[in-house]
Amino acid sequence: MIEARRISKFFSIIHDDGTAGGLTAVLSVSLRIEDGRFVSLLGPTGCGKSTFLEILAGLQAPSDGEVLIDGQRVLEPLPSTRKEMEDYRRRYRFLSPIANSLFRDRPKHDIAMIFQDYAVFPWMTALQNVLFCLKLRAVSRADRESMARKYLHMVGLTGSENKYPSQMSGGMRQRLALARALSVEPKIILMDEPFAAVDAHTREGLQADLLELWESTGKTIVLVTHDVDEAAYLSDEIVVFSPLPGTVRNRLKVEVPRPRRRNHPTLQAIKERIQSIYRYDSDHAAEYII
Amino acid sequence: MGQVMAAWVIVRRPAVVAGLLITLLVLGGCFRSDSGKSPGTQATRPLRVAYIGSPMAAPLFVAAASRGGADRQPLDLLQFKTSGDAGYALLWGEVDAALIEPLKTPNLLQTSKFPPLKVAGTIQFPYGATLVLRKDLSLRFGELAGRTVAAEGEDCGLWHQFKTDARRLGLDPERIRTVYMPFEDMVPSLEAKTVDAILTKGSYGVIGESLGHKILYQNWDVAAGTDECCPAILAQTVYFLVVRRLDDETVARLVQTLEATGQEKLDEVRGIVSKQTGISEKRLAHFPVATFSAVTDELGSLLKDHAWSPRQ
Amino acid sequence: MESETMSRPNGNNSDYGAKGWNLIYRELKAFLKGALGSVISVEFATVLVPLLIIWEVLPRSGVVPETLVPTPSKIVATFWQMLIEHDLPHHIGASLVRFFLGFSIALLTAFPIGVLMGWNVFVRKHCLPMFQILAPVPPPAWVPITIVALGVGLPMQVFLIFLGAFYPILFNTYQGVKDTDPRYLASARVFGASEFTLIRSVYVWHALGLVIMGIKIGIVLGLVMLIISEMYGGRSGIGYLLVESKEYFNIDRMVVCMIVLGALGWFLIEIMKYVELKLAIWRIGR
Repeated sequence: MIEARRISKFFSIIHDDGTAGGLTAVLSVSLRIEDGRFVSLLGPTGCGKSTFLEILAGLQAPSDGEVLIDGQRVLEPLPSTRKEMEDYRRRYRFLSPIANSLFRDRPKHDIAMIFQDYAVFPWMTALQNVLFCLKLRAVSRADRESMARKYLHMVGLTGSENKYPSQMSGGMRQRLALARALSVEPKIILMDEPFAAVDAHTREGLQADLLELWESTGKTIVLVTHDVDEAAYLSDEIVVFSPLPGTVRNRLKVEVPRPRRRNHPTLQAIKERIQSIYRYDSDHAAEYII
Repeated sequence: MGQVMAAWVIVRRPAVVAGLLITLLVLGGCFRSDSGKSPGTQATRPLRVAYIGSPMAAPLFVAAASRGGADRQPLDLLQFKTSGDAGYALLWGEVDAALIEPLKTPNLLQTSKFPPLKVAGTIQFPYGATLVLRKDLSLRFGELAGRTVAAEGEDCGLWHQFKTDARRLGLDPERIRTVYMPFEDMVPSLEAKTVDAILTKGSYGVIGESLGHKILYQNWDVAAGTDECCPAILAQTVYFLVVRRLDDETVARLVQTLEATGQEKLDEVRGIVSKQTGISEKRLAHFPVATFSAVTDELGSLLKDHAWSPRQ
Repeated sequence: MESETMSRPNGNNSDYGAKGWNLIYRELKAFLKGALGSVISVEFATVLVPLLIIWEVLPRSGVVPETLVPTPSKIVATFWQMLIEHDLPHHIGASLVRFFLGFSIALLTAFPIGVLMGWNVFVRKHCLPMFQILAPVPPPAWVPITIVALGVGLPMQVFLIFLGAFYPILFNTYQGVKDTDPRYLASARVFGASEFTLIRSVYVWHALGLVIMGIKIGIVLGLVMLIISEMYGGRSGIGYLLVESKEYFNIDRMVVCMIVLGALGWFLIEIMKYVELKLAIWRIGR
């Protein structure tokens, strides 16, 4: 179970005219995601949901609040007082808090992540990519190759095992990322706009495959997207984010049994409701004060 | 009208002006050095002579220092690091004469056909066998067994003399490791520490000693010319005096001036050499002094076209 | 297994599975084709042959002094003579040995230091300023102090070559590792990669292009320092031959030495290009 308690993230930025300012990416988001659920985080581009996802994964430290995965805290929040800052700096002067240990490959939590622009390693073939992730999870050498091939087959990449990512199309690369994430058999998979850069036809195929895999394995999936159709079609629950600063605007449950039709009336109703929320927000654009 | 145009160029086209200035500077630099090369100059213009800083250039030092009469050829001495550099300076006319080692001279004479270079005389030094030990080793003569010694060749007269003397002094020459190399390479080898000691001819022994190495053995009684490696005339030659195309009168005067240095008193000569090279007079007193001699018939027959003769 | 490889028909799917001598032979063929391919071509020949003819004719006809400008035929003859009589292979070997000694020491020290500095800010803040202070001193300026400290012999030469090759490799490795795309680091970290695995599998591979470029520049500068160090000390090597030819007014031998050096440098760079091709095969898709 993922539990996020009052997560906030502030950045200090420099405006175009040289003045310094603050940017609130995420403002006091509290969320609880049960096991086995498929949750979408929906919001317009640039509203801090990717930042929130990275905080969930432990790739960024929150300015305030904490994330607990299965009861274990992911990263401590950034220091706020001066003394805390000096302590923090001294403790992490050699290795940043985001880093895992120096020599031992050990994931802190049982999660896997798929990124917006794939982030599969271009210097490894597809097979080597999956083997790399399996090795990080200390799977024994004998099992590694068979598992890798199994998952590559599951996403439909048999025959492309020895190809490099630069030789594969965008859709194939995304399948490879999916295979990597699945092969380590995590409990939670986090996805950051995984289908944003593929064409509509490939996207629909990938979405169908994703659903099938989720149903057969029963993992928790958290999907970040800006596509309302996608969120409605795939997820059990949609968490709507507001534009900067990102806060949870609303949580909508999608209780349509699967397999769903894309033009199901309940789905349409949900889409319209979300769009009216957006219109309201843009009409009554309120100033948020930190 | 012209003034207006010039003013316009200067004001409105700074790039053009800068380019012209730079061109003038470069050309001026190029042609300035030519002024010394113009042929047919006055009789008392000093000749530029290139040399390497060794006591073997004694006649040159004395000739440059003496204040003698109207017949004397005034000299401008220029020191070069190596005789190769001196040779190239000679080729390109930066100097009028140079002292070059005999081994290098044939190639030098061949590279310049026009104007031709000629040998106008030689610097001579007694032949003599000298064993020079590397400066960082402190061995006595008897302790040389097992060490590496450089010699000119198996048949070299000096080497035979040394072996005879060594047996007499109690050192078994068979226990010395020998490497063979020409005389010119011996002192550099000593400096580079590739050999422990060298058995060389007199002039190089002195050069080695002036660089700080120690002389363990010296025998001036070796007759030159007994082996094929060095015909007599070359055995005693340290340098050839190679001159560029100059008029006969100037070269004759140069030769005469240099020959006259042989008349000077040894003490004075040593004093002048000591001042020029920085070696103490006490040290120089141990050795003979280098002398200049004009081209003899024997040398002339060896060098053929390349020997300068007064009836040019 | 041996007989299986040997009896396979040539050129027929022999790509996977060639072992031992077949593999070496195939790699050598590919390397030579790549290296010589651009030089030995019809287009270049139409430029080169007229130049060679002009070079041959001018000294012979007296327009240019023949003794100062050796003709190509004379150079070939001198080269042959040097090969047979004057021990040219020995000198080339001596130079190569020195070069590889100095260069491998430079590679083995500069590469790890560069990686460490690029990977970790703490290390970088402590170490980089010192290298930045020492780097601007041109390597030839180190010669006198090296002679004072190490004398004139193999240590001095190896040290000078090391100095020449060290800084390009160091700074290029550091730059390459520093600029690693953070997406790759993030995706590896999420799967639990330790810092050591990150260095080994992500940083180094991502930086490979810059590292190899650094090595190439290091080779060039190392060769420069090789010649300089041989001019100042020692009695063997191409640099020594070069200086000796100058001293003895052998212009043709000088030119032969220069050509040999050029060929050596070209050959080493071609080897690095081939290595880059083999290691960075994933870039072909771009």
